[in-house]
Amino acid sequence: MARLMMMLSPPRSFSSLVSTMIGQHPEIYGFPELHCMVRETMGETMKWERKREKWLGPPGLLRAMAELMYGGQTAENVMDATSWLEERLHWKSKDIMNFIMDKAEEVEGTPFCLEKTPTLSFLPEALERVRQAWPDALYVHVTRHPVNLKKSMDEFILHNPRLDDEEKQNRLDKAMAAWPVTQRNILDFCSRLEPGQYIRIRGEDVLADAFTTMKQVAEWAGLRTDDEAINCMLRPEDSPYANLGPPNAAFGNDPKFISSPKFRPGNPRMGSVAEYVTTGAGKNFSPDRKAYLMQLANMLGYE
Amino acid sequence: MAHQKKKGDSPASKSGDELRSPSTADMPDLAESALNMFAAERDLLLTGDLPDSALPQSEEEYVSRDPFSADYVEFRLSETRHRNEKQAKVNTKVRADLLEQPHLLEKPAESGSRGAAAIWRSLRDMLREESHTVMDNSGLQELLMLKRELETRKRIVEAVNEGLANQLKRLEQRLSVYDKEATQIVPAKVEIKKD
Repeated sequence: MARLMMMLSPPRSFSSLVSTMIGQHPEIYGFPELHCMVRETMGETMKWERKREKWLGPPGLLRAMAELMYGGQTAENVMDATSWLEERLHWKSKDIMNFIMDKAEEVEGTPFCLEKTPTLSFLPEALERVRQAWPDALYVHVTRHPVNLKKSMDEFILHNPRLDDEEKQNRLDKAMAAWPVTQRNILDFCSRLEPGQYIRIRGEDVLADAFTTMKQVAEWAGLRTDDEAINCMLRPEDSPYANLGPPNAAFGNDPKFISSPKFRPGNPRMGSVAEYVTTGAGKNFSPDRKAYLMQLANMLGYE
Repeated sequence: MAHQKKKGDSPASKSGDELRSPSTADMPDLAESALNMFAAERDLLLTGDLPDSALPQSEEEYVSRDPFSADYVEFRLSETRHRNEKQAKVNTKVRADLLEQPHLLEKPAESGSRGAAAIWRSLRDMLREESHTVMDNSGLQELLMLKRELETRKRIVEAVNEGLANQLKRLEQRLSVYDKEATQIVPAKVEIKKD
């Protein structure tokens, strides 16, 4: 069976771009967001998805199944995929993942499968589930500057049509907590991994020098590092999941990424945590929150 | 290991010069204390029993882990509270309206997807499983019954198809009185800034 490579990052952290780029390496099959492992069984996962108005199941998983099991991402194949899942609601989520990873290996012959589900970074028990199911998995931790992530989350919250005004305000007030909480979950989780099982990269470094960063990831995973292989990683738009899927499973990746999947290098202007907690929205934080946020940011290479 | 203060070490017992600059005699003590502390922590790490997971194992552990984790738990609770309140409000205020208009009981997107899924499943089962099993393992009588059943279903599907086509035609006529632009499904606008 192919070996699992799992991307760990909170939402709005370039995770769709970076995971699709890594997944374009010739020896890796890059999935969209499968969401399988958020719950123990497939039945619980489907229930979780339906609460989020994904009535047929996780769009990323349905797209991957349509692609690998039924020969292409069409609306009909997505319906077949959802029927297949409904007949296996009693299955453990890890068994569904193993099944789809086997299919990827059978179809593409790649020794690695890359999965990313940003929601997992909020769920310690789900992270543990992944570790127990695949003890030899590799983990790529992708970070983004906390102040930039907060801005991106604010924008996402303000334009989310599913939220009423009160929900929006509540989320805007607490959005900054998402960064330290998810980073802490990931760091605690990774502290018990075997040496060499974990790599951390800054999303901003990928934008600034993608070739070097992707080469480092390939080298760390023991994969090909020749120019041809690395150049494949710089073309995320070639992934079968980088475009809009069929109408009944359209996304499975960040909508912004899907609307513009090409990699565009650049040096994003980074915010300042010190400024944020002294004159910005974080000035009302208690001293312990300010100190904690700054220490964690510094530890991850941000000021 | 913390640096132990000795009697007579208090600032009050030192002269002004000694207070302004630490005496060089103290430096080896600091270095030694740091080394001892490191050695103790290293021994603890190497010999002590570390838990299998460093992640919090209970909600109390999660809340007490750091101030932002506590904020996050509070946020999740307030979200659930708000969602339940909203649901209760809908249940009490709109119940009468919903009873009069049962098609509003479910969200259109949900019922649409569920309906489509159910129709697809039933057609797929009919096409792939039931009929094949009967065709492969049945005698003449059963085959004739299956033929009648499939012809009936075919007529039903054709009738539904025709009915849907008529409804869509009628809907188009209704939509034709509106502004053409308002009835189009407009794709999301993507603004690309040019440097």
